[in-house]
Amino acid sequence: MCASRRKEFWRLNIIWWSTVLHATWGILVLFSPDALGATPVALLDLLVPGDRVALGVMFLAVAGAALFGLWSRPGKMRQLMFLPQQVFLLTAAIGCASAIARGQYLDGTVRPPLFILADQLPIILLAIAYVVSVLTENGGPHASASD
Amino acid sequence: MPPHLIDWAFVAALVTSAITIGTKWLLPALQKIGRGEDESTAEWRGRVGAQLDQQDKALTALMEATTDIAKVVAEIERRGHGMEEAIRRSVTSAAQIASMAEHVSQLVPKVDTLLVDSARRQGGRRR
Repeated sequence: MCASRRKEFWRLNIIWWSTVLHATWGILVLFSPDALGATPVALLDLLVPGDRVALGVMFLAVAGAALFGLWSRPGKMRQLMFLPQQVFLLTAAIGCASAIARGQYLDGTVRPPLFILADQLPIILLAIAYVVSVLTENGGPHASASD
Repeated sequence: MPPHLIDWAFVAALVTSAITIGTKWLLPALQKIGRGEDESTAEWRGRVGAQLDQQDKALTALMEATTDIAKVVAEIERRGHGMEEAIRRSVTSAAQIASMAEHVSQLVPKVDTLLVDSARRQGGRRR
């Protein structure tokens, strides 16, 4: 596998696992209100306060849009399909960063900032990697060899 | 939870996403414009190159014609020298001919006299 193909593989992996994450969050939120307290989910819960079904459907919708984008041919529509998930992921990451800065999870649990950093770092890193992946991906398996 | 956290977090996410997609779409457009300039520059270079080739051919033909003209002029000059020599010789010859004619004109009366004397001598012997 050449270097450009390897990079594209990692980009698509990041988008793919973000999709799996959002789909999982959506299912968990639909399944039980207990999942709403988790920091990445708690902030997004404020978009539709008190309506976890709507939040769960939104999670599944953004995951579905990204999944549709992964299967689409290269183009602006494909890139647009990745954006809702990017907005959700960045919002969750900002919620995590806020929790780290305040030393308190969004459900009110107080912990040392470094503890929250160690706990929430994957979400923040995933959000950054997702933005870079969307910015640099060039069509995945549909891309021509010259890309 | 800080008040309005969701508001500015969501706005920040939207702005970041807009910047991401804007950058992703703007860069290829700028590269396309750059490629367009390259193509027009290449086309312009091609046109100028073709014109230079034509001018080069015209200059080569002109130089060949100039060389031919120089050869013709040299030939004319060479023949001119020959004609000059011939004219000079003809002038010399004319003077010689005039001199000879003068000699001949001086000799004619003597020859006439000699012929008359000769005729008289021969007439005397017959008698």
